[in-house]
Amino acid sequence: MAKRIITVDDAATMRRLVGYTLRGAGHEVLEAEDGEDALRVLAGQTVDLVITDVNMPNMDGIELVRRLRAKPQFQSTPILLLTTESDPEKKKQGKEAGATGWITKPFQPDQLVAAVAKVTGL
Amino acid sequence: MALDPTSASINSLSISIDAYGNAVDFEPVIASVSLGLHALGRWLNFSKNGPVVVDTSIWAESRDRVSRGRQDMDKTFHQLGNGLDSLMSANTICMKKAKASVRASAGSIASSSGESTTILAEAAEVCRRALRFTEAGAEHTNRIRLSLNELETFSRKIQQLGTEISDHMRPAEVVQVMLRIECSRLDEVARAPLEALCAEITRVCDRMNSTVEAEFELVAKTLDTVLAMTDFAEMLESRKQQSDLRRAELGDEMVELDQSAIELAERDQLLETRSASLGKAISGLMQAMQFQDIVGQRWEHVQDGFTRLAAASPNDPEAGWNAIVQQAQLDEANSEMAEALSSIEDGLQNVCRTEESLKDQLQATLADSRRQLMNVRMHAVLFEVWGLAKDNSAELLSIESLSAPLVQIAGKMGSRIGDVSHEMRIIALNAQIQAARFGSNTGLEVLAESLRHIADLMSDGGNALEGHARNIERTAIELRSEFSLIGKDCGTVLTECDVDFPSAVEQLLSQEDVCNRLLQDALSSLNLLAAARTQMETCLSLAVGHLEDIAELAQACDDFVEKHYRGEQSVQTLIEAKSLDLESARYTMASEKEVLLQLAGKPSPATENAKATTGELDLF
Repeated sequence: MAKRIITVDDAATMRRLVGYTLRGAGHEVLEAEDGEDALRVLAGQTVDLVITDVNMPNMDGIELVRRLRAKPQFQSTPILLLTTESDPEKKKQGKEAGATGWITKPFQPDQLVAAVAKVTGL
Repeated sequence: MALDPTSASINSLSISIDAYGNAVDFEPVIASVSLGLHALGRWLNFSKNGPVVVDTSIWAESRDRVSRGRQDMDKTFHQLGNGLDSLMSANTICMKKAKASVRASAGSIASSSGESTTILAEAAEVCRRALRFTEAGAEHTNRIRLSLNELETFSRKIQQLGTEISDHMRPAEVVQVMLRIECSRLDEVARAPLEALCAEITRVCDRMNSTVEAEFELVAKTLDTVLAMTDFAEMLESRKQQSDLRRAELGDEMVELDQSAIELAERDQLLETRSASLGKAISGLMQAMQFQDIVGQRWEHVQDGFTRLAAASPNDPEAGWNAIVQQAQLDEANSEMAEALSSIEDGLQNVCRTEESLKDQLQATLADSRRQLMNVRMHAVLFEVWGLAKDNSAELLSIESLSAPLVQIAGKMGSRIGDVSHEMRIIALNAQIQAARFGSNTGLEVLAESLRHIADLMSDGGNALEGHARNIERTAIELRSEFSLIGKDCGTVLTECDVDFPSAVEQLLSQEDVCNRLLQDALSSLNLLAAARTQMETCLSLAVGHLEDIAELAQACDDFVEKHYRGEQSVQTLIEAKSLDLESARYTMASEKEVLLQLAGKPSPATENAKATTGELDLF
């Protein structure tokens, strides 16, 4: 079953690659350049999954997770942090903010598709 | 720039913000007094020959070059993304078309469903029946040959009898002359019965002559029939041979078609493998392209480091430490990007190999599809066999029409000869009566005797002729029966062969045409794949160029670091001290920590583990 997913990353190439992978698996993919842009895109609509980078200008991924979790409609939405970071401290921050899981870049397309299936209950 | 060793050493100990603006705890360094004093000693020694002038413009220049390199790489990767987009789209199209065309070709040969199979099955059935007919035709031929031999024998006997009867007719003509002489000697009253007898003899002779003519007509017709039937029998034989030849050809065609079907099934399987291989190549490309983001961040960090270096005092050991770190980070980042570009190159080579393989497979299938025309040829052969049956059927009608009057004439012949013989006997009896009337001294007795003898001869000949004529009639009837059987077989074949052959062949040709067009289309679609690959290869060359620029810069930094900082004890000491405090610094990327630990000569199992698990979901 197709899911509605938003990918948040300041790198256009990453957004594109995530988009290719998930659209190829039959999902609908929205895109945002950073945390602020994501909040703008998600205003008034919901998604089945949020995949966000951590280090981004304007608003980073950890802050985005906090803001989304503060909204009732996103309290149970799975949020994955897809990042080059592998620092345990950052991971801890992500977990405390309410993220569902962490994926370290680079990913193989089937790994991402499998992760999406797992957290969205496909 | 003038170097003040005293202020520099004080500054180096009082700085509490690292090169990236993060708070750094120098407690371990300060606590290590001996280490610090040693560093100070090295630093004083480092500058014992007085102030050293160092041109630090390299850092500002490096920062700008890394910035340009990053931007260029971003643009190039954006184009690479476009190429990947085209590649994925071309992959979908090519694979879809390749599979469709190969499967259509396979379907046209040996699929278990579809029109072509039905046509093939019908054609095979027709062929089977047609061949059975020609075999049956051969049996008929043999029987017809025997009948024809009999006919010929009988007709020759009739011919002989006709000659004999003609010979017998000569005495009757003599008797006639004698009678006329006798008549001339008698008065009118007495001669009247003799004249009547004479007229009767003339009439019977005429009838006999016409009967003999009929015999010759029968013989002529029989011989004509024999000739025509022999030709027909020979033709049947020749058609049987032709059919046998075609049947052998059909067998060969079928074997080749079976082989072709096997090859197509293998090709279909191979296409699946190629499709998976291409998918894997694209997946690899997608993974490699993520390094634009990963390495980009590292370059960004290095760029920040260069900015700080540009602003720092060049004689500060902190600057030396920072320069060594940035140079090492730059090398590592470049190496990572080089690895990514190499993966992209591998991926594109894989795409290229897949393209070539697809091209080979499709061209081979196209060649196969030409072989599929064997289907059509096979049908043409069947059509030919069917044509033979049709020809047989048509010729049968003319042969039958030839044998019909033969039966009719032969049937009348016997009775006609019997009639003439009977009449001749009556004449002989009449002549005997006349002889008794005129007395034994007249020539009439001789005449009567001659006539009786002639009647006997004619009776014997007539009996023999009648027998032969009946034989001819019987043989002709048998022949007609054989023809009837052949006709029935032909009729069966023609009725059962109601498949429209020309239309079936046309359909197959059209089917082949469709397959060939699909294959050509699939081959053309490979151009899309090649174009996308070429586009990506061009981008890759550009990316390699950008990386070479940054690598050249890294070399310049390395030379600078080598010349001014590496090997300096104070800097080395600082590196060792700082490496103990990595967790508090802003080196959060696993690969960056790896560089720092390497510089400090310390292994990092945690980082190794992190590298091994990239892409895997770590659920909280």
